Amino acid sequence: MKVLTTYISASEGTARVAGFDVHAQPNEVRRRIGYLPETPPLYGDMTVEAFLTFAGRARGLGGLKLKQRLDAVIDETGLSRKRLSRVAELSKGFKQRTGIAQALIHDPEVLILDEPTSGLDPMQIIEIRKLIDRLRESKCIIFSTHILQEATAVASRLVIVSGGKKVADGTVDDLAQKSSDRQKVRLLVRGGEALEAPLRGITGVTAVDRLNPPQGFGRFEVHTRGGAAGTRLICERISELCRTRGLNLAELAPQTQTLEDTFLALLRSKQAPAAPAAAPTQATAQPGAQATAPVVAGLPDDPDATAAATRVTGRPTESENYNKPTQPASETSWDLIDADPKAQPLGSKTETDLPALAETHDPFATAAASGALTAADIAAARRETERKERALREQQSKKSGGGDS
Amino acid sequence: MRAILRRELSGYFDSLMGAGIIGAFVVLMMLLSLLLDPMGQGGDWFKRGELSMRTFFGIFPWVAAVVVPAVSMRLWSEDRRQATFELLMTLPIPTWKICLGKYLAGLVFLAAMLGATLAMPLMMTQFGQPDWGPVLGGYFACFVLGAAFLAIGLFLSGLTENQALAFFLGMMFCLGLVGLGETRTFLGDLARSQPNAALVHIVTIPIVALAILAAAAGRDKAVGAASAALGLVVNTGVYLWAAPAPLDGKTVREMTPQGEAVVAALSQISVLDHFKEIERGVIYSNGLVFFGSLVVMFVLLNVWSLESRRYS
Repeated sequence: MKVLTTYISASEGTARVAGFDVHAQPNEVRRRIGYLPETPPLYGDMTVEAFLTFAGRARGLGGLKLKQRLDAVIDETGLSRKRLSRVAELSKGFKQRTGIAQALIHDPEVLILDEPTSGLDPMQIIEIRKLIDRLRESKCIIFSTHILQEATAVASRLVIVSGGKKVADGTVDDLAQKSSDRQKVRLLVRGGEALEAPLRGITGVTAVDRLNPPQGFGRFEVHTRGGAAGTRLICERISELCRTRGLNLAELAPQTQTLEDTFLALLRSKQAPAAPAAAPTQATAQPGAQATAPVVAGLPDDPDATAAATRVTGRPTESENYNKPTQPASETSWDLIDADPKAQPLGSKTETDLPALAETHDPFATAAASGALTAADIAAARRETERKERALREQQSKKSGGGDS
Repeated sequence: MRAILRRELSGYFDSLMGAGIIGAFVVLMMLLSLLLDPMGQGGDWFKRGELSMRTFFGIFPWVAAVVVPAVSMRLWSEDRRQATFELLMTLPIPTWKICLGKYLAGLVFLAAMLGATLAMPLMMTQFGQPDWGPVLGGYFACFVLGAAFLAIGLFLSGLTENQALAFFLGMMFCLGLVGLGETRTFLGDLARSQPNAALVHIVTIPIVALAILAAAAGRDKAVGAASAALGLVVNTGVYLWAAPAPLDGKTVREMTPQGEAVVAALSQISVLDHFKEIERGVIYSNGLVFFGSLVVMFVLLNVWSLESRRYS
């Protein structure tokens, strides 16, 4: 994210915002970005109005235009009562809003928010989310979060990045599908302490965890594949296994899979053994009625995890080079605004690119993370675009009384 | 750039900070110029019975070396401490313009600070006809010297998020620059009575300067220690080479030709001689070039050091 804002420079790869390269034309990029760092960037000795005036002037606004924008953002962020308060005296929620107002003052195309809800109370979090929801109609919003519910509630597209590598990317629906594919079953067997190895031998079982059992019992958590049907089959196998060994099943309970579990599972399966357990996440999404919500996710259990969600105005595309299979994954672009949807063949390189990204990520994890995001986001956003266009075509043909789609 | 300038000015004047610095500066300058006698004019103001700006301008470099770093310390350190640094660095304004905006705000404040001391020459008009030429020349010299110290302070402020550290580094650096001009006095006077004191003087100041540079180079303690040690070795060597020679085998010593060379070189680096030159009214001089290049160099260093943070 910091690479996208041009605050720091990427060690390799390229990133583009609204068609402008962050290295070659940083000022063009900065003009189009509103950025809220993790801590809101505020001068405590100024009033809200004076600070926002400064932010506006620093963005080249002045005169009537500045006044209009000032009123607009103060209204948008609900700061009118605090207009003349000194920033240092504001509550945390109002400080955060002032920070967002600062990022909005020049009406940017792209809004980048670094953990906008961290440290706020539940009411404040809801208000910030509402604000993001209002803004999504007109802007591309990228935000990071550790809070999974937030990601799923707000984002239309979600990318999890761990240790500088992307481990998951897709809409909330995509991830929900994945989560229904992988399920878990818990079982408790009297005298079944030694069942671990045979359990692993059952087809469809991906992993077996030994849990803390009561005296004389064996308790396991079996990770399964193949969705609900596969899990039912595995449950039958397990009971059969116990029967043939003369053991009694005390419990056999399929676990309801939460998104948290999915993310953990994804992390576990995708993470290179040597990679650190950090999991920053980002996501992109398309605006408009048909767009599925973008996504975001974070791993609550992982202290280093971050998640980010993005909405994209216009349409993300890959650079020309990107589709060439030999191209290194770091050679990706972040092209949010001006791209021809038909120019590139549709294709997701998301999965195949991951190893390459993993190689390039160290030691500048952030830089590589953005690169990774970019590549994957773009592919997914394109899929979404296609879907949207198809839906539009359908609608049109129905209206005109034409045939089916 | 004007937005940055305005913001920094409001940072100075909307808080008590600016008023405090100006107040402290005025009180310090007034008291010292009335009570001190660095020009050897025979006692303080009360004893002399005459009012002159000479003491004022005589002590200004020393006072400025302490006060100006207090003006510049917050320029970047405050932003570095808060997230506003990130905001500034992601604004669509080139870094050099932001640095320049902050520097100009400091200059405006410096002018206000000097303006507040105009009470003193104005007071003189009550007693007689002050010669305004030298007074204005002196004020110009003060402003130019202050501008150079401000640039140094701006640079150091950009290196740390700790305002106090920025202040002390700036003070040491500026005091060192002033003090080098007094090398002859120290080497002469002190060497006659206490040769070791001269050694201490000539050795410590460059070490301090080197240590500051090492700190600037990148917070590496090993680098800092190594350059301090190097400074010690080099300066001991210079001292042994240029040490005042003993006269008649007694403690009384005199400058050797090498000593004279060192003194001449050091006074070229010192701000004191250049300051005095401008103060005397020699406007088109080495002095202006000297201070001008200090300003340009340190503002550029400031831009460079901030810009290079993007790549670390």
